[in-house]
Amino acid sequence: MADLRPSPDESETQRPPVEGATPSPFGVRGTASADGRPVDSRAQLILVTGFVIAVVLIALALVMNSAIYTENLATRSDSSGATEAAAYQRAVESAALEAFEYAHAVNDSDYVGLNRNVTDAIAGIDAISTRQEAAYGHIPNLSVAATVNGTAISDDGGVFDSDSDADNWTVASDVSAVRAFNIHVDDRSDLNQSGDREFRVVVDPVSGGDRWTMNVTRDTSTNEVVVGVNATGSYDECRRSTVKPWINVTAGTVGGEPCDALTFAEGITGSYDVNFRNGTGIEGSYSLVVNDDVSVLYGVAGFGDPQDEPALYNMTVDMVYRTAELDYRTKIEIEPGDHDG
Amino acid sequence: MGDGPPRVRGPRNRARPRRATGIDGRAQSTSLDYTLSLAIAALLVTGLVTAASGFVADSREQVVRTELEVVGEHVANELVAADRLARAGAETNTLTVSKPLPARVAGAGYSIETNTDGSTQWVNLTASDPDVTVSVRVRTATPIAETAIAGGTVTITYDPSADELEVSS
Repeated sequence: MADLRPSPDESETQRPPVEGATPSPFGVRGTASADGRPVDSRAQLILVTGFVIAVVLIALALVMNSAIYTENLATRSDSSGATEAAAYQRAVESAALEAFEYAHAVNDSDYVGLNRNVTDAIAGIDAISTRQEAAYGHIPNLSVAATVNGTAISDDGGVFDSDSDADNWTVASDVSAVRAFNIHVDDRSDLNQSGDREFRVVVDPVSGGDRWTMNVTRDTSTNEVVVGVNATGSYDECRRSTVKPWINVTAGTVGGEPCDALTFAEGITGSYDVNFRNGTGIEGSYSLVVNDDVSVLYGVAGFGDPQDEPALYNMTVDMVYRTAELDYRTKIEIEPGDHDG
Repeated sequence: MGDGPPRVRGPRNRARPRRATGIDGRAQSTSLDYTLSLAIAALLVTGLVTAASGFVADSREQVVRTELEVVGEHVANELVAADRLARAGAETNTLTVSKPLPARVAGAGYSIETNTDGSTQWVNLTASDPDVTVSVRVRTATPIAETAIAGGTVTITYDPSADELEVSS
């Protein structure tokens, strides 16, 4: 800090000592002490106060700087890439699902072809997305970790009897998972009324125990389609007035509306058989995919007969996503129509 | 400069002409005047400095509180993002998220503590000087391990075996 006091020479020459001058707390200008010497220590209080105020202002400026930094910090977006990783994961899940379904559409002759199709599709998604993400400094990687062979079973029309016209028959035996199980009722007037002739889907555990049963009937008094479910010893039902309802068994919907009672194979653990009872009590079509690579279930299918074909039950994709601040490795399971969601 | 009597500069001396009655009472009046002036000036200055210091201290505490809230929200945001990623895949093997955060807020060090109270999860941030504590509520499906770390860059890790998120420095 600059010395604001005048030099002794200046004081003596320009401001000579004055006899009887009055000192003040703010300093004495042009005064002299009793022995006639000029007074140097002037305005100390103002100087000290000014210095303290200056320090306080500097502290205030630093605090305000911190406040500005806080606002800056508050408006920063997510920099770790977690949001981008979540978006990428969803995009991959969607693309892989499309690839999985397309692989079955273009080649459903054998498992080798299906596996090759999904592997090539995922490699293509990986190549494209890597180029896109690399522009942002993110490094993704995709690969098919595993596939599970399954069998797609379907019947495109008529009653739900077997290829040997049996009314009660086993659709798939010793399976542990079913996906995309859909039943379409051609006309509700074809449905049997409740009783011994009602159509039923019975899931029978291989190791024994309680069965899971779903029956599809028509209430003659209200003309409603009634889907009744007997699971874990209790019975519940859903009613719809739709003429040609879709029953999505694994998704738990009837006529496009959720049916709380309908949870496929609820309470069943381990492997089970899927049976149809009173297959002639319903007309329409059905399809399901089981996780069992049964080579030949049925004979040559004609119209109204069940048919089977190779299908992948599910596919697991390894996904890696890295940024400077994120390391994420997960598995994505592609299983369309899975009842576990 | 001439040989005449020296002139005394200053308003007080000009306003009060020199007494012609002698010099007996002058010293007393001057000392009293000086003391009173000094006392009043000191009082004013002290008040000014005290008020200014208090204002700075209050501002700093407010800034520390605001910055802790911002830091807490960032930590909570990263925890929620990590939770979303951990839940997104069928099986998450590795998940590590780093978040650079200031080591000090307005010059004060602070600590970050994660706490679970029943079904409610909290991120508590505590600065020691000034003594400020801020709590931010977090909602995650994945449990959060209870930890306490010093402020600064935060790393959130998902433990697949324990199925929980852990905050570390």
